[in-house]
Amino acid sequence: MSTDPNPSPEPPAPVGRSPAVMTILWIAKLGAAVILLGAGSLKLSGDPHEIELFTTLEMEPAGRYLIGALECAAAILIVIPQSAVYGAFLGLGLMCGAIIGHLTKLGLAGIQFALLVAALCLVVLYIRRRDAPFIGNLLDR
Amino acid sequence: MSTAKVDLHRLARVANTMIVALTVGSFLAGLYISFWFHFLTVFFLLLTVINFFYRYVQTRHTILRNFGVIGQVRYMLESLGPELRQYLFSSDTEERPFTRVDRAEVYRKAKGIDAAVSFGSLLEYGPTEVKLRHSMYPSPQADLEPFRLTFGEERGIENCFTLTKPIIISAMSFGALGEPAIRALALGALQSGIAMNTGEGGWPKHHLEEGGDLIFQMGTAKFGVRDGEGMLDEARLRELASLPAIKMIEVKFSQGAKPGKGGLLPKEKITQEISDLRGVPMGKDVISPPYHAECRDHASTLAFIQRVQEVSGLPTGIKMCVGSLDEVGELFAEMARRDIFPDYIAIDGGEGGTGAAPKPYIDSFGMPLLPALAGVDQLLRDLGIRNRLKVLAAGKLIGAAKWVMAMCLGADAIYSARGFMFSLGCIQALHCGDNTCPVGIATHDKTLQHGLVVEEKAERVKNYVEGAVHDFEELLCSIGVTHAGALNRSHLYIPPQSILAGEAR
Repeated sequence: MSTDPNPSPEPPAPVGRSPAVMTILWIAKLGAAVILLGAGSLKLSGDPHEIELFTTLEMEPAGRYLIGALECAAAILIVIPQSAVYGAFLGLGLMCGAIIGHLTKLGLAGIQFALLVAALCLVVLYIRRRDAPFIGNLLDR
Repeated sequence: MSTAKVDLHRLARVANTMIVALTVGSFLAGLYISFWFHFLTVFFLLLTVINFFYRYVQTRHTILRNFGVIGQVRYMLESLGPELRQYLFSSDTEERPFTRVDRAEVYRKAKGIDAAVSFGSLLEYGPTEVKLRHSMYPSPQADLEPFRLTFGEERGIENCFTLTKPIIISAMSFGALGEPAIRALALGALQSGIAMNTGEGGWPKHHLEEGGDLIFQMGTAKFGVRDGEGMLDEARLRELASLPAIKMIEVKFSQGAKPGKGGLLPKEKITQEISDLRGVPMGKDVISPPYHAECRDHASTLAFIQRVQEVSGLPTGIKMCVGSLDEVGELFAEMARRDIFPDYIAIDGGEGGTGAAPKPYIDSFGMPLLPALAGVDQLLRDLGIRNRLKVLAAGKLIGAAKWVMAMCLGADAIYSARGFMFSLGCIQALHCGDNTCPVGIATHDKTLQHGLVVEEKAERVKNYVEGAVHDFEELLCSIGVTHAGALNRSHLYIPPQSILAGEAR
């Protein structure tokens, strides 16, 4: 099933294929992936600091495992070109949750990582915006 | 008193407000009840952003600007429309181009299931329908003469080719169809003893793999036998014609899907292999020229046909969709004057077409098969040259009754492409042009081809041929003739309102 309201005969034109843009894209992808994978594996391996955070959020241990697994998934998706936008969407969503957590319950310490990953995801989304589901086809070429 | 009705605009306004309200609500729930609610907060937050984008940023779609995310429901349902109509809402006789009744008959034949139906025809038995006339004294089955049609006999050439069944698999190239589909058709053709046209897709590598009889089609781009300038490469044609499997050559002038326009292979379907076999680049639609560079008038056309006949040493036919009978009549007169004849002419109806083509061409160009066929047959008779070449017919001829009708109007044998696609399991999803054929026939996507098992489908092709030929023989008996050559217009009931009435008499 396609949700493209107006299937265009042309596939999405590659956006930003210049070497500079590609370099930025890959720095953003790899940066986000490394931080997400690090954070995810800490959660899955039961790092005491993470346990403490999730205890504060009253989501221990199920929430820790779930979010850890989703972070690892986002890290993998964002690296693979075909799924980069989905990984970036997922990463952005997770970081929104993290930012909300830091702002409301956990305190500001550590929020900088969430902000950084969110920003990197936005960079990936912006560069690969033509591939994004539901909105990519509405953007100007 | 007002009646209940759904006001979609109002519903969308409510939804657009609700998305924001739900974001705030989830956030508060996450704050005061459980952090788990923030999963919803994040979801509704992203939805809010997308909705804002739809309503105030993008300018391309009116519905999304006015209705927001609810508007996407319309597009989703619309995209599912063809499937919903086919599964649930279309009656057995209203789908196009083939009704479910038409298709089911091929499926039953292909699976070897008893094809008797009960309680009357589902088709219109109305004032425009052409019907077959049966005889009060049908021929005994034992009197039927075996079908034989020999191409090239008129010219007395060495390499004549004889059909023993009235049906040929029509032109479908590797490119239009994927490899397993081509191989299943080729194997089925071999097992059932019929010939297969290669289509204009270049050197017929996969058609050749199974070893059956082939008719090589040379399109206007001459894929497979072209030189650097797109003209005929005689050495290459000679090499191809020397292969034992190649029995005839067909020069294609036009086809039913896009008469007056060259072949079109969408870039989505061009793989490395196709690019190699055709000698064309990847990533670009391959558009063949609308005419053969060698053929600019009747004289040069006939000279080219003769050249192909001489170079190949094989029976050589031409294929065309008729635009004007006058124009075709002039060509025939020129043939008679110069005593140069192709060994056959295949008439493709304007309704034909597995091929991808621009919509105006599919819908609005070319004479329908039956009047074109009747007209061609009459022109040849008027010129006294009907015995100088064979006539083949193509265009939605997927069952024996249609074959017999075409033969009554002048066809000597029948081409079918889509009938054979149905026998392979085609469900008429109409995705031939975008490489997403769900049954793995008209696609090069390996994951979609996975479902198409060559040996299994070859068996279906064979069953279909046997079932339809059996029907064909029974129909000949009922009509009261003992061979297909005896069929003529008097065996048809043509009502006065029919498109054929009064034509080409």
